[in-house]
Amino acid sequence: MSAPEPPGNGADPSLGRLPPPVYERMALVLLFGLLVALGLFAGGLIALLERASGTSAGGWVSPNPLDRDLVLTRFVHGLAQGSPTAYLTLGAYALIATPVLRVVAGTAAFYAHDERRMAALAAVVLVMLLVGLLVLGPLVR
Amino acid sequence: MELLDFVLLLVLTGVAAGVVGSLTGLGGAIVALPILVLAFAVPFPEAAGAGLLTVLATSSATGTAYVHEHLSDLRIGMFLEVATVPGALIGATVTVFLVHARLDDALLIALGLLLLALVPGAIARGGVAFTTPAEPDAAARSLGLRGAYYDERREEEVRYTAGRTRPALAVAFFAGVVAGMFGIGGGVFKVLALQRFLGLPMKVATATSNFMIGVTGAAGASILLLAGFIDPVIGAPIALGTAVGAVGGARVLPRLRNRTVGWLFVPVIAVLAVEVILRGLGVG
Repeated sequence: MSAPEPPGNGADPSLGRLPPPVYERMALVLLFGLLVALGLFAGGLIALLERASGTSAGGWVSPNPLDRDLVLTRFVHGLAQGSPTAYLTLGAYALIATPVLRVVAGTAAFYAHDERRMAALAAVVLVMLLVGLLVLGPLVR
Repeated sequence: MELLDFVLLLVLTGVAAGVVGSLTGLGGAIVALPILVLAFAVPFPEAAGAGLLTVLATSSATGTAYVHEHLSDLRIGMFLEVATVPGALIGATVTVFLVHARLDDALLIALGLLLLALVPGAIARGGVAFTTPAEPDAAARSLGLRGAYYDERREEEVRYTAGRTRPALAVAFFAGVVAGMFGIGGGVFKVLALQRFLGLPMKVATATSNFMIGVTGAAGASILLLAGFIDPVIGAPIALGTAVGAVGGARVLPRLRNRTVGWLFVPVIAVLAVEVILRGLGVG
């Protein structure tokens, strides 16, 4: 037996409930990001195993991945050259970006439903994530 | 070890960690992390980086279903993320500083102690609800922190209101610190904040914790990524395997999921914890 649908568009502010399409959109964001990331991981690993068949794992596990694919120019070059590790790194980026996009979707949903306080809270979460990525991360690097 | 064997073993370890993590309620990363350190000799920083990729994959995989079923409380999840995200940023930053100060071993000892502290409680709880109903406080009223879900077993709508927001935020902050520091989800602490302090029903607490774990993981991962602690050649296979194991485990294991089965894994995880501590002490 499935949950009975609330009347109207499904939104029920008295229960703190947002309309069902908001949940659907958010679930889609998570699913899409996950599939993209896992697809890149699977494809990258298959390509890596094809190219590096018979080699030792030690040569591929980098002591400092920054030297390999996390420098932007090398990363872009690696993608253009079809480097498996560059695509694995892209998968990691996709995985990290997925919840961030979910917060963006949440901020937009709260704002669209005139929930200014919740939209502001969600925006604060988003700003903190960006501060981590753009300010704190480079500082501790 | 040949690359093919290395990758396959990592995927299989991920699957096993995902299954055990979902069975015990501890999450896949906290099971995978000691195995990476002990069996694969992965240094702690890279193990923590791989752990956070695992957390992100499992959170999105299980979170999709919970959000779709409206079990995750988006409002309350977003509210607590205000505390978990700075916690994770601080935790991950502390880890980077400790690693740069060559104190990786201290992190290993702390991880082992954390495992030892968490395992008995998580298993003994065994899915038994310990919700303490809460009266809504000013923040809860102002933000409308209340909700309802349809309980299929009871065949009725269950309504709830959140309260005690300050201690919940404090516990959520601590959960974030632990998650960022060790590369784990910290779900045990998040569920504590949601259930014990905010007073949410167990199903909603678990689903909302899963929903929040991804954002906390992204915060910690952004720091570890830029510090060079995330190596996708290690992280990708383990994350891939754990996501498959967690989703498969969640579907197949409800029939097995009980306290007795959970207890079977206690000795295994306890041994792993002790081994990690010994490795940190330079004995193992």
